[in-house]
Amino acid sequence: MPERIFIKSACQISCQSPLAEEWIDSPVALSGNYLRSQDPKFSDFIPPMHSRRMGLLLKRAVVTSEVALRKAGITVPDAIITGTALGCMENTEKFLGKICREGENMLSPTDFMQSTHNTISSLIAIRLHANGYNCTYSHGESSFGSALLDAAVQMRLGKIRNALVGCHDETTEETFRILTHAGYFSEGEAPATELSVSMVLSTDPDGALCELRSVSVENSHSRTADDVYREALAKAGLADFRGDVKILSDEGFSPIFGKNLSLPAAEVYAGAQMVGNGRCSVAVIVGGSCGRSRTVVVLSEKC
Amino acid sequence: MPLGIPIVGAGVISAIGNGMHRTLESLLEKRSGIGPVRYLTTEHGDLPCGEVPLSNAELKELAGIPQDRIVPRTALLGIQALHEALGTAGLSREDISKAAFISGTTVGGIDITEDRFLDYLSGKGDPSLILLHDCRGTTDATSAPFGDFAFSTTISTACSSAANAIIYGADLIRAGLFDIVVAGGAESLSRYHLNGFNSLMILDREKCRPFDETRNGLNLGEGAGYVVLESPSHAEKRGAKPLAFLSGYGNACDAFHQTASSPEGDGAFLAMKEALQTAGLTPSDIDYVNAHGTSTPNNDASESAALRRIFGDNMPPVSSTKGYTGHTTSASGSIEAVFCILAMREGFLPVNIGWKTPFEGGIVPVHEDSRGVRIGHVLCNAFGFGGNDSSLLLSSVNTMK
Amino acid sequence: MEDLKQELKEKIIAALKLADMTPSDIDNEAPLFGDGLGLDSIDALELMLLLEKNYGIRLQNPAEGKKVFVNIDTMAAYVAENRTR
Repeated sequence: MPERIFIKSACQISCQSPLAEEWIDSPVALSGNYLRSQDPKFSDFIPPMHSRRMGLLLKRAVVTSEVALRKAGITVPDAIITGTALGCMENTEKFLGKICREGENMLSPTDFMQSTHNTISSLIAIRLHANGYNCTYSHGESSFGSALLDAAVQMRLGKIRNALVGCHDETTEETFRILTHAGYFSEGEAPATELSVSMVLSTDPDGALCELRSVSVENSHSRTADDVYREALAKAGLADFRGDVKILSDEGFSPIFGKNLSLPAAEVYAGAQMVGNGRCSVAVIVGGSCGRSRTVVVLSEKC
Repeated sequence: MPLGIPIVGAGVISAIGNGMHRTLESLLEKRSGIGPVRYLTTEHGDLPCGEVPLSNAELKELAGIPQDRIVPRTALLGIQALHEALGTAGLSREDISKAAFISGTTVGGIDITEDRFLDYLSGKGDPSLILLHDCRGTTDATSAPFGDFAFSTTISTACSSAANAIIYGADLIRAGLFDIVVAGGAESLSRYHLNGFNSLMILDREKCRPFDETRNGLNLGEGAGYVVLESPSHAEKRGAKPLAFLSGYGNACDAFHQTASSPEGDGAFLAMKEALQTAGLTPSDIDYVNAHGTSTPNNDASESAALRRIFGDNMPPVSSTKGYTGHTTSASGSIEAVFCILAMREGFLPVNIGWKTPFEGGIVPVHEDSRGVRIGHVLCNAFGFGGNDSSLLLSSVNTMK
Repeated sequence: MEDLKQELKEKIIAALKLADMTPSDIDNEAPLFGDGLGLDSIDALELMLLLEKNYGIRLQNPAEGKKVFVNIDTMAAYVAENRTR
């Protein structure tokens, strides 16, 4: 019998007020082409001796993870599954920049070590002494969807009872310039931003924000938005649902969280918070549609 | 009870050959592919590497890709292995359109970026090439020649990426989401990670010697390996003949340090234990272990400790094949899984070349030829930086009758 | 020698990003690794890099580094004797 899955907690560090849900009623209006995240005081969460080697992305990932776990009342999760489209760009740029400018000698091992994509999941596990399943997905805008799907599949197979699932991306000034040149960011669209989202999934409904009814990731084909939405509800057993359904998509949420490859994670976080706070009964997230793959998630009230 | 997921296709490319046939010859002849690099431009040309003996131009020609199209080397290698895997599985484009593709890589298209990074920073550079930098770009470039998979993703857990891709693929099949999953990984050499490993001082300027007393570091390698996993009922309907079975698997985190393994090999031990448990087998059922065996002082000591915790005094034959290929990082889990399949089918134990003397606490690896060996169940280890430790349990077709 | 020790402390703080520390926080005899400052194997590599960049001293492997980096005193003595810059 497949397990039911719940989202116990979810939090974010973004261009909105960090680790809070003020954006629901009073979002900060976004302006300009490029916005960095609003960061909490990291020293409140991580002692300087531990954070000294961490760039912003790692600090954000550690803080959102530990806050989400605390809110869920879990000390050591059964699994840590992370998505990141580009990884720690600050470290990558430093290491690569040095090689290109100064040659292949006297390079810093710290920059290399912190630049590998799985350093996020690894660092979280080291801090928590978590020996369970640990994985990292890096596949553009479906990085988060892949991570969430993995967690859901393992819970349905009965391999794990809970999981810390997150998605983290940073947009340094260099990344912003390069991706603007590449055509990913452009003027007139939502500003380029960065994002850290962590959430805790569990088979235990106690205190949960919502139920995770279904998750799928598909290579984008030409289906209408309506078809996607109807099929998602049917797959979640909600084909006949006539209550309050909110659709969350890149279009609706880039005015709030800006544009970045982790946006689908923000949409699932937002959906969980909105269902959890009684703003709607069902949330259908269709994330990353502008890209090559689409993440479709259905959340509902616990019943 | 063993999971018994059929592996109906496989493909591999590394320093010891393009394709299973050539690879098998190299393994039987104990021929190492490690030597000076020919194609990678680097100031560290003195570092021995397991470079695939094909230039990008040659790889493009083999794949029918126009020479003026720029494709990450990781994808060019992946295309070779994927072509063989899909071919041996007999998959049509229609099968592919309903299947999932899970690929492991860490460097992605960084070989393209590292030649152009300063241009990118000053606002120059071809936008389409910039978008080839990330992991997804490489995974998509690898699968594109073969059709549109229903779902693709990239796993990036350093040296256990490909093994974890196979694990995720198996879970997707067991959960009933897909009948066919093509899983594995690819990684090319790059200045970026050659220098990264060099800055960590874990490369050997001599050829590597896994589990040897004098071991002093690893040699980097490159390559790709993919397997085609299929649900038993679908394989039967399609008349697909398994090459081997995936009976069990484990993924655990060492949670000790970002670049070193715990002295007792906690993550490795837990991963192997889970692989045995999920297969419903005991240590005495294992006929061969393909070790991660990178030849670093740290890994080989840590892995030996973990192996002893699993097998005690009844150690099965163990060998590392990194003396042949070098450490193929993200691709190692799938390349070495294919080596295990070859070993099971041909009845030989790959020799741990480069080994002469045991170290205290170290396992004594396979160091002599053997043929006609009955190999029923195999453990294949892949341990990544960050403590991402994974283990696959593969079984021969004879054990599953 | 005291100047060199002060200089080493400043460079160590910068290289290892010990943002909250000043040179006066680092005792000359306190162990750099293990119980003292609590540095780890990556820090050891960064210290080797520091020696090469600033003093032209190239240690061959981390094992060599272990003997040199016991504390500020041993480090300063080694640099004074072996520096090429």
